Amino acid sequence: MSRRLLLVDDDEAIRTIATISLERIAGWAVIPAASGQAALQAAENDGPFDAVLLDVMMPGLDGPTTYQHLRNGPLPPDTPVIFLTAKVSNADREHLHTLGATGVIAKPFDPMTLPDQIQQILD
Amino acid sequence: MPKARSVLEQTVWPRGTRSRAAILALGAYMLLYLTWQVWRWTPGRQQYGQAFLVPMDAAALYATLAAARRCAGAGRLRSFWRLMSLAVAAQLIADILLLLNVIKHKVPPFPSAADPFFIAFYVLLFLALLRVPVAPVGRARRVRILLDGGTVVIGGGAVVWYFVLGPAALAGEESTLATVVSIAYPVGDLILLAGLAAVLLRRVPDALRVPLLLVAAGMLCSIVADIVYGYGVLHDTYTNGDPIDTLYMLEFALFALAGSSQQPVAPGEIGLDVSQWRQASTRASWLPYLAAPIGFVLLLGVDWSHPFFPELSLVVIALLIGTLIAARQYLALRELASTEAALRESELRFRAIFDNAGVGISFSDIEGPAIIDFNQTFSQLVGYTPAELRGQDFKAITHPEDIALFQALTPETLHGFQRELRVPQRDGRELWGSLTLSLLRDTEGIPRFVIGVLQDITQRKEAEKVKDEFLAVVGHELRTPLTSIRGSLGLLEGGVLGELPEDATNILSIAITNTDRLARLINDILDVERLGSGRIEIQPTPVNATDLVKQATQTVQTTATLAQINLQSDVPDLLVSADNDRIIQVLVNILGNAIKFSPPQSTITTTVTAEDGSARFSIADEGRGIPAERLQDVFERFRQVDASDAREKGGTGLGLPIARSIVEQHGGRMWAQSTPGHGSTFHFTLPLHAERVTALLCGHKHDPESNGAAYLAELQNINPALTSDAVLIVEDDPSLGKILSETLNHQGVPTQLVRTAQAAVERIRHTRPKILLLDLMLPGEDGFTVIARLRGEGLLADTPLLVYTALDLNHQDRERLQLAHTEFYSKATTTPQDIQARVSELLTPAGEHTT
Repeated sequence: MSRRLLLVDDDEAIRTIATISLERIAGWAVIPAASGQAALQAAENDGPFDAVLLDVMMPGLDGPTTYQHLRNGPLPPDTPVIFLTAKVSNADREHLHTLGATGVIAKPFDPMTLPDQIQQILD
Repeated sequence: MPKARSVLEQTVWPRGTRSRAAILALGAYMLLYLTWQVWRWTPGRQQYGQAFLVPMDAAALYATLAAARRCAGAGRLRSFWRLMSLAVAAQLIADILLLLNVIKHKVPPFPSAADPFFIAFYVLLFLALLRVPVAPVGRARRVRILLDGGTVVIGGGAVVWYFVLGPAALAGEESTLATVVSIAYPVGDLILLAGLAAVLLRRVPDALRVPLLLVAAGMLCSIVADIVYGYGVLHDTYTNGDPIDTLYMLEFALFALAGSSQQPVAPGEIGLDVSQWRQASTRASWLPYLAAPIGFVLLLGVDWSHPFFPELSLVVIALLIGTLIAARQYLALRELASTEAALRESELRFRAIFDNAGVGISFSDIEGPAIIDFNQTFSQLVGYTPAELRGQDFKAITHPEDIALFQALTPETLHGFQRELRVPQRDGRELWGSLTLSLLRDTEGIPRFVIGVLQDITQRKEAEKVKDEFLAVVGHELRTPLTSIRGSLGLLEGGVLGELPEDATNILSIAITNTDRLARLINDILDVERLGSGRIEIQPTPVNATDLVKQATQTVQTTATLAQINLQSDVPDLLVSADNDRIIQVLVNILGNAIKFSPPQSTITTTVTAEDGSARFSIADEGRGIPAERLQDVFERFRQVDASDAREKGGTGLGLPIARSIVEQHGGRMWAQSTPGHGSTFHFTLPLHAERVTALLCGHKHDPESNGAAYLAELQNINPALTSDAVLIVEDDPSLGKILSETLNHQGVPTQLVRTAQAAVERIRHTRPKILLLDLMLPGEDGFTVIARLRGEGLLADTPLLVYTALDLNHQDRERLQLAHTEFYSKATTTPQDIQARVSELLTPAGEHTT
């Protein structure tokens, strides 16, 4: 099943790798955004998405803040949001779930299994 | 009295029934002799009187020989007892000879064959005294001892001179030999007196104190008896069996007691620590003061008209004693003066050290607790002038958050108390200080003063903060590019971008292996650093050991399968109190290690057993093992048993140190056992959750007859919701948190302690505390957030909330903290005990209030 994903990460290398992984392996369409601000714009202009992949640590608008803005504005309420984070302690995870995250994927992720991980969360 | 009795029981009254019987027999014999002295129930007088002495001498001989045997190998002590027994033996022979003479002649000739033995007794006894191990003394003290000894001997000499020697010389009727022999006794006594004084005024080993005192008492009996005897012989009033003989009987009874009171002394036990030795009796210091008046009093009885007592002889003696005493006093005064000077100098020196110390030192009254004394550094640290600080209450210089903590300290917990804390300065600024407290007790052991040593650690704290930030940044900055590299390589290897030639695949796998290793190394180094500095917070929750082992085994299963290693586990359902992720990290580290060092087709077995309130995890492999001398090293950072292992096996050398650190932060311990060639077993323990749960649910009525398995089964059936704690304490300061929960637990109130807002909310979602005790200043989110979230989620709508904070709250703050029932307590004015009292009140059902 083909999906459209919004990928938000400030690191260009990560964006490229994730894009290649998702496009080549799973055959999904990826709309990359380099910042929280860009993500908001993309949500306005390029939506709707099947899911949003959102990095937690970003300069400017960070992941949780971007998330709040997305939820308050352009993002349809039923769109799943998956956080990408290097902080994977239970408390951090719990915190993200409290915010309303659909899932959390730990960084560094394995690009070979990234599509599977996302699929599992969405299922 | 009880003290004297216990001394008696420990020393003179030995434990062995045989020795006790011997002492009883001795006492009975002495009584028998006394009845004879009083009623004279034998026909003759002299023979029996003399005959009584012989068995007593024999008893003393036996006891002193036994004492010498018990001190075998203890050098001087042993030769003291040997000479003592020789002396007693000489006396025994003399008494037997005298007895024979008495039987034969009725009135024995004088001098006789017995006399050389009697005289030998003095000589041997004196030699024995010379062998008593005494502590060496300085020159000044030796002079004083000499003067004191001299006073004693001259005092005794005055008596001997007045009563015996003078009159004997005056009488001058007998043969020269008889005169010499009769003079020899009192002179021998004087020599003994000198030896006795020299020994009694010095310090002796503890083991010898009681026996020596008994020997001294015996000798004094002998000296007194000899003088009376000499006087009696001189006036022809003495016959054998005279009541004065009782003193000789007593003398040898005392020698026998002395011998039996000598505790066994092992070779080398004496003489190691002379500073521990004590004077046999401090009363012995009075001997010279006893001797001096004797010398003077005798002047009163002088028959001035008698030609042999010109004023001069006794006046000379009295003057001599006076001179000796004066010289001694002079020396003592001089010593006192120099001691005082030394004391003053030492006081000045310590005052200088105190005043100029780089750390702040304060001295306060434990009752006050007002600050009595302090050094310059201390007043500078807290920013007060000395005049302002003196007499100030310690609360003035304590951070409000910490006051409750200090108030909760008891003399026991206070001593050695060490803590890093904020130090409020007078002008409102704040320092970081490291405070160490110690307790000063008075001579009766009652705690009186508190000494605080305060060190400025602001710079270190700042440096630590910088280091933390640096590590966080470095960790992030290193990981980010590494993530991209690893990801790119992964995509290439996965053939996502097309198949690669074989060489390229090989090169790629090298790149991947090493990237992984670098990533592990960075993670491990950051872990080690954060664990070492306690910056990783362990959040224990009840977890099932089975789950832990299952998860860890799953993680390493792929690696194990590749290495053809069989993973087995035998784990009962045990609830442990642990941080799930961290313990899995521990298990994965140990298992990973075991896999690395195990040969193919071997088995790694994980078992868990419950023991003494903790669960013991054991991971046994069949690898090559670790040599015994390296068993500790494996827990050191960057140590692998074989240096080449690091490269070959791709480890970071940090896995085990990290594992141990994590286990220790859980309050457990970790160790390894190994048989080289047969494999190693790594063990670690974690606290069982069971203890807490049982305490909460069952109190202490755990049935001793039920076996462990049933007990555990019972615990596993516990619904987590049932483990609701009566009081949930939210307090980030570990010490205060501990004090609060212990204070409450002590009153039978179960508690649960969490340190962050996050943990508090999480806990409340799962359990329903009866009371919430909340600190407001928490790391990250604060207490206000906790209440906001609880209100948001409609939790704890009817639970009393006690806010225990150092903050000054205004009206608005209080509004924000309202739950159904909210009470506010200031840390500055309310002690943990007050909180406990209030909690107990709240927990008591309304009807049961005792008013």
